[in-house]
Amino acid sequence: MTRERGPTGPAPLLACRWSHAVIGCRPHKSEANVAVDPSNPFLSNLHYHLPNFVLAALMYTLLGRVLLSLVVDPASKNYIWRFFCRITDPFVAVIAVVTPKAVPPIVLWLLGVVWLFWLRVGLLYLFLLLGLMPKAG
Amino acid sequence: MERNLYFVGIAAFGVINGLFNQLWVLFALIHVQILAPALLFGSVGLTLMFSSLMVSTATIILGGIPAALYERSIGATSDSTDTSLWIWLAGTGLLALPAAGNFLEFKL
Repeated sequence: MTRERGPTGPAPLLACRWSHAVIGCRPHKSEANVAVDPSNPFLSNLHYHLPNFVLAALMYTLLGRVLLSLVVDPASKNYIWRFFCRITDPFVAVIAVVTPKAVPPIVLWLLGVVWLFWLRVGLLYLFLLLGLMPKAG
Repeated sequence: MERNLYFVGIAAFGVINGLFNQLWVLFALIHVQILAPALLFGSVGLTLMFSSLMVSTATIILGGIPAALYERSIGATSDSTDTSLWIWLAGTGLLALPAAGNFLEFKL
């Protein structure tokens, strides 16, 4: 009678980390220094991921501001609301320059979300044109 | 002209471009899938609708830039003028021209 193998899980990895810490055995190659490995695709393309992340964070914060404005008074002292306003106000001030004055504030914030989406597309193409994007495969 | 009619016209041109401009909707669809895959739970139908919305809104935004610059040039402080709304309407109309063929062919 053959015994079936149990499900794989975090136990072997934890055991190895424990043995590495306690008795000094070397970790597996696959887990060694993942965070600082220069071949890590995230770290090696940080020049793209960082501005893209900032724009994405701004986009979702602006979307959050729109949703929050449905339930929070504009003059509210709520700290989340104040944080959202503080983060997004500089960008909103910039797009207000190129938006007609007939547009009410909440629509301006929604237009800001769309601006940021297309700015992220533009950033992607800028890096593609400069040849700074990671190669596939 | 009634101010609301300007807004209806601007929105209509945006909708036409967002629904019938196949090139830009496809372009937006690809990029929504790259840049915001988790936002719409991986649903292709929702992603297509979102892409259409992005193109519509981009049409309205780009059409509004000359109008906003005109407002700054004449020193409008509180609200848009009739002329700037005309510029906005004309701008969105021009941007929606590539989709006009598909729109007219669709025969609503």
